[in-house]
Amino acid sequence: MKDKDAEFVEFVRAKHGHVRRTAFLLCADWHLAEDLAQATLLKLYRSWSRVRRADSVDAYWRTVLVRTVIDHRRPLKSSERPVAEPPDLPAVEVEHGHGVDVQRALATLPPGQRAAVVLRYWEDLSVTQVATLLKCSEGTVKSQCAKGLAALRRALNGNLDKGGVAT
Amino acid sequence: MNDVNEVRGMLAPALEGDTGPRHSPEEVLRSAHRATARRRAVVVAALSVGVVLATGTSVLVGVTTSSTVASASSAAPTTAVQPPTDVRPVRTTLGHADELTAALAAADVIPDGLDLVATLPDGTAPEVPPLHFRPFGEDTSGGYLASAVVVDAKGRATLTVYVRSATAPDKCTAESRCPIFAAARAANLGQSTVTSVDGVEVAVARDHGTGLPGMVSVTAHLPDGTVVKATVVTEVTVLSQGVPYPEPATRDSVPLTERQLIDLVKKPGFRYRP
Repeated sequence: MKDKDAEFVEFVRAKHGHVRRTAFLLCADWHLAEDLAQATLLKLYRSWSRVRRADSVDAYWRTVLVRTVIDHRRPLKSSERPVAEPPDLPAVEVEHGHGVDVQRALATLPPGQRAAVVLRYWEDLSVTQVATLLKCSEGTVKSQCAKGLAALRRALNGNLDKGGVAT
Repeated sequence: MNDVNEVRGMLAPALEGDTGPRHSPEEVLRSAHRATARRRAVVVAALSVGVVLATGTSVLVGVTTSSTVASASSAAPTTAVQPPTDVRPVRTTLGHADELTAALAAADVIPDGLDLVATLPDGTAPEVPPLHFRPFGEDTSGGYLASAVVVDAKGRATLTVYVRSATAPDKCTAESRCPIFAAARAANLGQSTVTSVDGVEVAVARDHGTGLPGMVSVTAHLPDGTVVKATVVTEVTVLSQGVPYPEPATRDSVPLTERQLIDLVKKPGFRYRP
């Protein structure tokens, strides 16, 4: 039991930040990302014996995280209300710089496209791996990635030209 | 892999504001321990009172009782006003459940800005309102329960409304197939404080961290022997592989006030008797 706790603490120390950042890219909300990451870690603890036996621990936590994000979204999907942007958003934008633009651009992507782009390019998974994670065909992953990437480029193009953040 | 570099370059600025995880690994471990204990406590509590859960194919939400049944991990029962025991239960009917649903709809108790998500098994039918009553058990000691998840931009909470006859709880047993939904109180909530407001019993449990109300439950004992109870709690319980599982709270406090719940239980039309 102690070993389990020690291993889990070590895992959290090593991966919590990564889980949290990936969660943020999947949901585009830091507060929600914190909760989703926490929920993911608790689920991992519950099934730690399976985590231990997994071929790839990284693949395991990604799967749990993606399912946690999807499960979180599913019951809310039909009832989510659009939230008006606060009137003082430009001031926030100035304060936080380009990151806010990226966050907003990311948030405008449909969840499927966002997940495909994040998993394929940010997590650098193969098309096959992403398809398995999202439970869809490889063709769907490719088209979602292409559309998501194009939308991101469109949304950020002006800012990148001005700010020179991208490569 | 040019796309990889490009996307990483595009997305990296969004992570600039990252201040790192809010909780240390040790705190996460403690949360995991608490969640595990709570999960076990829910199961133990459920088994100990003979909970009969309507499983079906849909998500089921438990009702957080004010604490006549407390969890093993937080056994701090509040003082509950005992309802009169001389009220004879009558058979529950689907027709009366519909009447109660109509009364609830007419009461218009859900504030603007809150959406409802059905949690009872038959709540997904398009003609059924998300918050609707359904009978439990054979008679009104089991009563009628309405339950839904209320959602706004801040997160989710569970609202339940319970209409039953004033029958002693020990008459409501597993053997009589009278289900009591008895979810354990969330570990993050303190002991309920019970007061009386306008003749209505009001129980409030506050979040240990924020001090804000994480659970508010109001109970009205009506002269005809009806007990109307409305509870809102920040926790949402889902049925996972046959086990009720409390999801982490998504908001700091409940989305309905004591006054709104009091107004709800005092609306006309909530009677146990068909």
